[in-house]
Amino acid sequence: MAKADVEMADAAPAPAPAAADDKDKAPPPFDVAQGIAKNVGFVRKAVEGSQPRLLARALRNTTPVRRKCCAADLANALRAHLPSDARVLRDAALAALGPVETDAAMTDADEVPEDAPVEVEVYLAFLVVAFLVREKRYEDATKLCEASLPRLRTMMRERRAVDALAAKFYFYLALCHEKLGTSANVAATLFAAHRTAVLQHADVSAATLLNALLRGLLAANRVEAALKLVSKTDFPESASNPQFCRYLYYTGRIQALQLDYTDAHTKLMQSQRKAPATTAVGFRVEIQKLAVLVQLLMGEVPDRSSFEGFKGRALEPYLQLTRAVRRGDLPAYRACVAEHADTFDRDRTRSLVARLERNVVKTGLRRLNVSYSRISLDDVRARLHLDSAASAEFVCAKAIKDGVIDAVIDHDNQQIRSKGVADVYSTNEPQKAFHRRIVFCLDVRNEAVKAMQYPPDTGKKKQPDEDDKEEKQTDEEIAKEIEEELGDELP
Amino acid sequence: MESTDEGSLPTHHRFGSGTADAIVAGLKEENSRLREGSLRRLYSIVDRCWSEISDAIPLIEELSEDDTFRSHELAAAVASKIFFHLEEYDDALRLALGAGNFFDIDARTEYVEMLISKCMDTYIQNHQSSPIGIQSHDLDPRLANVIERMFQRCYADGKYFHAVGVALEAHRLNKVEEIVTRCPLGDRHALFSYVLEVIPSVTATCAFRQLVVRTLVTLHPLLPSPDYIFLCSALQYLGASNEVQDLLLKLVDGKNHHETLLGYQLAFLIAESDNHRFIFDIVSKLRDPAGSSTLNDLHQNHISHLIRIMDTDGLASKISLDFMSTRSRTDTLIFKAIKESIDGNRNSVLHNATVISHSYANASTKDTAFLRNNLDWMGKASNWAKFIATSSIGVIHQGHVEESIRILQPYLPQTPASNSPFSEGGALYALGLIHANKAQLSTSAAVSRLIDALHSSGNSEPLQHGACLGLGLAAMSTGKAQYYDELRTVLYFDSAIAGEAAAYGIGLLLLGHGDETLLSQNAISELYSYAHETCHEKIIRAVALAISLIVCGKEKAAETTIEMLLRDRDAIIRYGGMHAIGLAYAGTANNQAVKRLLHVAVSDVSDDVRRAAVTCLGFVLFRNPKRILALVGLLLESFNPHVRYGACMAIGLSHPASGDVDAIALLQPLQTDAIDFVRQGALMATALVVMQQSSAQVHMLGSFRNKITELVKDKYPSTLTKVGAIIAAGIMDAGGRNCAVALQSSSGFLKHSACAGMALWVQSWYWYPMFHFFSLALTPTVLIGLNSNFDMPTDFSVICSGSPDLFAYPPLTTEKQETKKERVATAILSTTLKHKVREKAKDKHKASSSASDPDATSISLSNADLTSPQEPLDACAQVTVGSSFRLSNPSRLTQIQMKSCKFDLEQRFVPVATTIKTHGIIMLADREPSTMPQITRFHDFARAVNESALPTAFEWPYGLL
Repeated sequence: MAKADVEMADAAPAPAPAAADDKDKAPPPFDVAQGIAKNVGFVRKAVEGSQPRLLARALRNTTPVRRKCCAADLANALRAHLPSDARVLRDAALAALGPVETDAAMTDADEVPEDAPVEVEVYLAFLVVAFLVREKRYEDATKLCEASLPRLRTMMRERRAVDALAAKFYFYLALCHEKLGTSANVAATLFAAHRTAVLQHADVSAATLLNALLRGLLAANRVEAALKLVSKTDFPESASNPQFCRYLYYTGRIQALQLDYTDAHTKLMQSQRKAPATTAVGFRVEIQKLAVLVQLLMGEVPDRSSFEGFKGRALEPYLQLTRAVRRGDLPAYRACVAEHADTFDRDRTRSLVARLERNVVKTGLRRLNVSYSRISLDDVRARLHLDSAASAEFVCAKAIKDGVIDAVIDHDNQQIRSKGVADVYSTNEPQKAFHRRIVFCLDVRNEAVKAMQYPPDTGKKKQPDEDDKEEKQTDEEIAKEIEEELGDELP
Repeated sequence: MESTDEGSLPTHHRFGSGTADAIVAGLKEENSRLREGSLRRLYSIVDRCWSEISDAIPLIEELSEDDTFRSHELAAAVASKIFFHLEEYDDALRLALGAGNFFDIDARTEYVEMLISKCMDTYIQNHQSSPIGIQSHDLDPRLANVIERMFQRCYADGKYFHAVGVALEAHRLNKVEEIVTRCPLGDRHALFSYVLEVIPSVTATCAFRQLVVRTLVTLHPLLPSPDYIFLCSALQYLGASNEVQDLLLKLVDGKNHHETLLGYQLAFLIAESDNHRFIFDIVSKLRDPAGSSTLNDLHQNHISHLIRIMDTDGLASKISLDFMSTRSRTDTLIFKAIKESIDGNRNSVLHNATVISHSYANASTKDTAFLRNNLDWMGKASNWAKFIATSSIGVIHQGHVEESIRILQPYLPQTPASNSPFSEGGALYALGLIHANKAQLSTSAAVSRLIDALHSSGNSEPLQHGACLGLGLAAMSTGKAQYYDELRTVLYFDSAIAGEAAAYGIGLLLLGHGDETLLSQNAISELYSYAHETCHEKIIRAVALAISLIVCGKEKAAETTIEMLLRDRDAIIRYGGMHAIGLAYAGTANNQAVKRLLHVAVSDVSDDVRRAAVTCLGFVLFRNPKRILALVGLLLESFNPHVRYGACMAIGLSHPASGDVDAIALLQPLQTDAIDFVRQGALMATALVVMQQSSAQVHMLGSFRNKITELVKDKYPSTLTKVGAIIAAGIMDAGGRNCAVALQSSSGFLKHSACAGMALWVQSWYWYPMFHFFSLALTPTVLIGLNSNFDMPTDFSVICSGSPDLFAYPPLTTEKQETKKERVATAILSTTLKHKVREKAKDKHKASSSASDPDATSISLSNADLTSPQEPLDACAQVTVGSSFRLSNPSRLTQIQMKSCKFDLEQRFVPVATTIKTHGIIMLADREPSTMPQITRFHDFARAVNESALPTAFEWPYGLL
């Protein structure tokens, strides 16, 4: 489990918050208390007017609050927005925060509301959990999560629209357990919660939980079980983009480990494209590593550009690997593996890297095949650094059978003869490639059309008396919020 | 029992279980004990690692089917759970049923709940598809067992309403019986009423529903105390007039005063339902002298009272009519304003619409003051407009049968035919309107008069038209062969206008007869074949409509007729077919009917048919108003204006007098539609929705009224829109603001005459005189309490929660003063002002008034001035007590107000039946019979309110023309 811990540290690196910090410096300082009050307002309105859209908006606006808030802010918020009586979560949250110095004067000044919907309570509890996780106080966070879950379950049974909030709790619950190394304990809870979510058509929760389960299974190296889970469940279509990204990543990983490279590559590429462009660098690096390996395993050589654009030298070992494979340079490959063994272990890509050896040999062979119309097996042995001529012969035979090279072995003269390189442009290959690209473009277009959302009353004349002024948001604002949320959700 | 095994599993240090593969391998062992052990382990971990085990499902299923295997039930349980997780619930249920005790339906887990709901669905589906009363054989007995256990669970939890709901849905009659007998005595009353309430909405055949009600009637003795209200409405549902008569006779046998009053109450309820065929049966049986000699005088006296209540011009209708004529709150100024606005452009259509609208507003109120004051203006009508104007008198006097001939005498055809035939025809139509739906009970002079007129009408089309419509109305749903022959003769003359009226007349005559009688069967086939012979579109349409009226309320029994009409190549006949669906399935919310209408609404080639299809959705779904909004929401945005118009009508028909905010919001944009007739439809539909609403309840009411005024006044709106606005003004204030459109009676029975009225009202699209049929659907919304002498004691009131202005009459409009020359305000020096204030303050101290602000008093004073004409009425009608107020006896009590009203059982006079709705005529029991009660009478009000003298005889202008 220690491994998993290390992996997390790498996979969920600080860059996302750091990048956000840079960005947030420019605008005036963000008032946390105001932000919380605004979001609580959204939640209230969402409940009163039964508009789940507003709840989603509150969650979307949470990001800056979550990054900036401190214990005192939260304690104040809890006191200000929740009545003091008969609120289990309020006390639990305050207890979890521990002793904090609160601004007593401010709390007294604000009137404590008569009553608050359960949703507000749960929302504030979620803020506290997020804060605790940020502070790495995982045990407290776990306790608070577990205290909130029964309430969430009853709310879901009452068909209240708390799907998105519940998803957050489950996410943090799984995360905390992973950090504490007690993932196994939470598996049953997650499975049960996933079932409930599916039965109640709570798509957001179902998606989050499915990802949490896959993550757990993969962390425990139970790839086959994960594959079965993927094949027996449907990922809800309406789930959010970040969750879908993750799902693609996990399935891509599973398929790569299960030797299904083509599908894995498609999944990873899709995931990469759906991932946010500016934030969540750690996640994109992770995808890139896997994608490079899968591409190499498929016998393709990734573009140089795919190693660029990332800070630091996270991809350096993989670049070296690629170079070795491209040249068919077995010693370079071996040296690289030996040098970066730790990195590969940490990235949990060692088994995939090990599979590359055969590809190195094949690439070398192909280069020979292209360069020489006839070459002796002994030379092949020398060039490829193989053990013996006989072994070179076997490798060639296999490569010919697999269609890697187009040649015949002249056993008598101990030579291989190339059949001449066929002109790809005379075959159907270009057409197929072209077709693939068209299909891809069409898919992109169709998905874009599907992803377009219209508010329910589009095209109708607006009634002037509606109080939609404050609900009006510029497109940029929404785009900004969404982008922030994307970066924020991915570890 | 599995818990012992679980501890030994190494599950604690890996995510998921991780051992599933190993355990699955154990299933392949030869040794059955090893397999059993594996299954036990799987059963304990299946919820966590179903995905891993799911590949082994064929193996586990095989084990579950192997009877020789000891634990095949366990295997079934495991397989069932896996299928459940795979979301294949049918398989999960199948295996769960084979899992024996492992499937514990008392466990409240998601798994069990899901499977039980699946069970219910299967069960209900299975029983619905099998014939009534017969237990189907292809149902898995284990499944039936589960359902049986579920019923037991319901009994244990006391959830009898749930149980009876399932039993009704599944068409299980014996279950209903069982539930009733199992139900504790205290809850039975509620259960019985609940079943009777939901039975019309149960998706079942008529026959089944009748069976259920019949069963309840036979089970009635099981009630702790007899519930006569329930029994009576159940029997009425069954149409069992004999039994109702027996019940009434038993109640009024004079032994118990309270029961006698209850008998009267039942009589009022029956009379309110407007089912005149049924009432006629009862009354004629009560009149039957056989065996009456054995009855004592007291009993005889009571029976004569019953007859008096239910008779044509009996107490029930007379009291309501008295209320209507004395408590009318029509705002004459509205019509004065309309009249003045349209006077400029000499548009006969608008003139006509104003006359019609005025007759709506004064329906049944006998208030002809406006007409009398504007005789010259009325005289402008000519030809068919004159027909309409004369017949509007019928609407104004509707129901006042004993005065009918006297009032209409000047206009009825005279022997020296001097009058205009249009006026005479209109008078005949008016005679029919006054006597509408009353002919059953007495062989009225009106009918014979109409037949005479028909004979002597010669070839005059207006006369024939009026006489035929009048005859149909006056003899509505009597189904007398003699009248049928008369009308058919006119029809076969094949003259467009007379034939049309004759066909409508036949439809009304046989309203709701279906194919019960030989006559109506013949009529349907004769009408149908004639529709193909004639070349007049008017006649074809009327004939198709007539057929649809005949099948009104017949549901499945009308299916062959509906099919015949729908398949026709002639669009006009299909148009009738749409109405046939709408009327036959009125209020049933039958899915099949709705589907067919929707299909036609979007697929027929004829706009008329599509419009009719959408309109008729309103009839089918008027008991489920929420559903219709969802259905027609999109149709309101159709590109086809006819469909939009139909959608407006559907909303109007299904939401009359409801004040539904969503309906209004949907209709609002259509009031400014690009097409004029759509605007018309939207205006009329909105008016239907906001009938009897106060502006405190529906905020847009004020702006809607203003909009109507503006539309009428404005020069530019097209004539059709203006007609819509004018008619809307009449609809909103119909019947002196004391009436609402109601397609069902307060006890939930379909009112055939009201349905027919609305269906024919919609035909005004083609023929303006049909506008008058609106009055058939109007029902007075009153609260009248009567003591045993049928007087109204003052010491009876109903508590209504909410503030009085929520349910108040709209304020009467005031005439605008001409304030063109406004005087320039003289400057007032500050010292004068101060002085004035000081003066005022002094005055205040003198009066020792509690109000502090001088301005406030002046404002309230002016308010009082404004509302003074209605002050005395309001004062006696409503006494405010905190957040609720009291409605005195008698008062208007609107349909939506009913929900917030309850009886006060602490007063001297209390209702004899406390379970009935706080609506209509209520019989009261006196708790202090020794003292004389205080009584109010209607003519007291008449004196108080009527500013003008009683109507004197006046000369109708048409007589002079």
